[in-house]
Amino acid sequence: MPKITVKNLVKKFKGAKGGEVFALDHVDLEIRNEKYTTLLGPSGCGKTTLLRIIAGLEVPTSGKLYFDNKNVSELSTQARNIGFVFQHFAVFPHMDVWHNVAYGPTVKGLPQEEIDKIVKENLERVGLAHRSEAMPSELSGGMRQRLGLARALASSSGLLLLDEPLSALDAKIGTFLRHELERIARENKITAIHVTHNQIEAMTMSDDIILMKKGKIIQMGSPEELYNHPNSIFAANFIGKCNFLKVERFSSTEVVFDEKYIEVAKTPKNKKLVLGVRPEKIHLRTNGTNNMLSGKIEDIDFLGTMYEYKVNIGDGVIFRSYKRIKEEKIKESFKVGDQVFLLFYPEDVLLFPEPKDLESELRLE
Amino acid sequence: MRGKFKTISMNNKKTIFKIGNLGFGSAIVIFLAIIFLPAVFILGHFSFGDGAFGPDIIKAVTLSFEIGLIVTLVNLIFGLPLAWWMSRSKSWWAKVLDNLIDLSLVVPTAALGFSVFLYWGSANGLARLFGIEGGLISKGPLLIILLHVVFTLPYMIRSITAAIQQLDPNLEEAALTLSAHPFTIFRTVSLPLFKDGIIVGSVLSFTRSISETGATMMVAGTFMTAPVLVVSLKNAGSIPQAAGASIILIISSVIILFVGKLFLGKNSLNLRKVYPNFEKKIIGLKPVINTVTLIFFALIIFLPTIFIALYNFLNFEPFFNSVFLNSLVITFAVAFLVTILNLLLAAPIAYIIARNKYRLGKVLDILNEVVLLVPTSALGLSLVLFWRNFFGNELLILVLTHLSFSFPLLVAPVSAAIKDISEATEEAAFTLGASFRKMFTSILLPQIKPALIAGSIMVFMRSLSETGATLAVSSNIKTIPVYIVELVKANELNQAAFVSVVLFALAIVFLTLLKYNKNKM
Repeated sequence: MPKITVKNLVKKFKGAKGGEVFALDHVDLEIRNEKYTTLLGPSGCGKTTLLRIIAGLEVPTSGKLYFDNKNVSELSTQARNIGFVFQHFAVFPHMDVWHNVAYGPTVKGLPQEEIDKIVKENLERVGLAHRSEAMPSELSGGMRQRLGLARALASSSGLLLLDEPLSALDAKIGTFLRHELERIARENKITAIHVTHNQIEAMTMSDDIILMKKGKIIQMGSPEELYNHPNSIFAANFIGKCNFLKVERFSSTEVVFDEKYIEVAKTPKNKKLVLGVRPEKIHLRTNGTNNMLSGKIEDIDFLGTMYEYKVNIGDGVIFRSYKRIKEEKIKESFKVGDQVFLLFYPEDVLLFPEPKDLESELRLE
Repeated sequence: MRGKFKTISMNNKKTIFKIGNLGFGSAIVIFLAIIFLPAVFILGHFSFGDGAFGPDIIKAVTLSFEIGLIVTLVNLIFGLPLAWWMSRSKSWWAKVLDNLIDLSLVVPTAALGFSVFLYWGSANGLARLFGIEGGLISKGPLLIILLHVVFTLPYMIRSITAAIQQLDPNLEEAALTLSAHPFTIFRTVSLPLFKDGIIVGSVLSFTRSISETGATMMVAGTFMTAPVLVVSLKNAGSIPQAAGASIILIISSVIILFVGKLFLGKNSLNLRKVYPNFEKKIIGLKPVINTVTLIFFALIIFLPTIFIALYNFLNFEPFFNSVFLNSLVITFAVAFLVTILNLLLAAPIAYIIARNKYRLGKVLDILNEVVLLVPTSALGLSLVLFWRNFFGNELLILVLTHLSFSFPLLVAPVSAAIKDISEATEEAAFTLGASFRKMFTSILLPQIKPALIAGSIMVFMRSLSETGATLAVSSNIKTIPVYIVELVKANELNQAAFVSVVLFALAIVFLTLLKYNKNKM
């Protein structure tokens, strides 16, 4: 049940054109003991490389790795006592369920009674005790990943590394397994590090989220912290949805866009800023003031739990607003083509210094 | 509008099937009449009595089986670590080896047999290094084994490396994260999952060993393996005995194939015993094993293969006469003709196998494998007996013989290539209004071209180098390999070496073509 510390970790790869690419660019971080942590980021951000280095499956170019303040950088994978869960399960196709789980304890040379006990315990944990004689080919995808989990738990001393464990599964089953994973990790006081590109997965499961981009850590914190106080346009955009608009600083509590003076909680010192508001914080109004953003409704999408209104506020900028409306009331509500005002409160406004290229900042790849 | 389009495409589809059925039907008939039936005709051409299973025959068959077994074992012992190292090492050494490993396959077998003989058995070979008069190893079973290992090892290695490449690398990583040590992972995870490749490689090694004729004749001396006996019995006019020996060879090959297939794909191994400490230590032996297998490859496989070129360097005796010229012309003419005829027939058969048309895919696939495994001297004899009933033209029978044994070499890669192409691409072409012929030429053909070229080169090479079947078929016509056998028998070693090197050089040209083509895929 260790705490994991990473110090100045660098991993370089040879790029396609012969140059060097940083998969991990001088990363420092600490992962809390017995907590569920997700490494979140778009593909190519280095999250899987980081996980594989923690597992000892990849060797870093430089930097140090500690489990409970013990330097494990030079330790082989075998000696690290981890459990690893793979995206595509990687269960041994030539062994039945029982022997898959028994593999770890067996190769460690434990006595047979102990192996049997561990296998039984972990099969029960994941709800596969009744299928112990089945071959992996007879199992569904979700069951195979439960098997992968049981196998990893049976071999680990409390550190569980999960590499996109749910992304190869059917959406419903994936959602269900999320809760199972979280429950098992908490009940057994496991330190879990879970790699994912799915922000909803990260939000619902984690104690801590580590958000990464291009080999660097962008932000670390609880899901609430990252959602409510994103430290960058990238963080605001990657976690949840957000509307962005280029504005200028006017005063310590006002920014200006198209001669509209928008009240905010506190402005940064920069002159050129980007304003961000999440869609659920925007309310549509028929009437408003000169200082409110306004525009024409271009499209209305039904999302099941709510409606999404797309409002063109000029200059080709589209703002989205979420609204719950009862089905029988929809006819009386706003329609495509309606002119509306956007109401939001100063404390719900996020402000960031304007980047060189907002478009590329918003690209998720 | 929509309905109209539908009827048009339905009609189209009907005609497609009509033309298709006619074409495929005739392809199947031609395959059965020209390739398969003649190849197994010998099975009906035999009566008990006549000493068909006489002591000589039993002795020769026994010797062939013993040699085949030993050769397969040697291939397993050295081929497994070599194949593993080649698949997993990232060093440039492994890449070089990967390019060298097929070399003995493309050297015409008669030239190869001669080269191996010069290396081990002649005064100018290894013996000179040790100052031994005469050869280091005299003609006989040991030399036959050394020869067979040279040309069967590539089959073993290729089968195993192909299977290793199919392995999911995550499985080995998973075992690593479960604290298993490298040798334990190899034994309990990797090996059980690529054992199919080992079985295929063993079946190929064994059947190739018991069926090889031309090269074996060079090194057998007074010993008779079954295929060599078939040729000499046929030359002595003892057809029933030759048929008897052939039948034993054919039936045993088929049985081995089926036994091998029976073991394929059965993954029911459970991990019972693990020896953590012992297996942890054994990995220390890895460098030793690697060194030994590399030395084995250099001294037993590579040097004997190319030795004829070195020998020729020292004993250069170029010559040219009408027999040589004639053989050269016939050899290449037959090879070209056979390749072209094969191309015409292979595409439809490969299509039937790949798409399992008329549910005949499996059957045709197995028939093809049977033809591939029939020893070529037995096959040649079978074809002579069959075609003699219709006409006596030796050259024509020779072409038909070569057609028969080389056909599966083209069908296998082409049907595999078609299988890789999704059937949806064909359907897409049909929905866009393409006829079957249009679809085939514009959609399938460009995609299977690499396989067609690779297969054609294999057919061409096999035809160029085939000895056993040619010897069994012809009495007057000489191909180059037959000519080499004759020169060696007449003890014209320098001339034989020159002719071999000419053939070898041509073979290298085609190997280069094959590699170039492979890389383009």
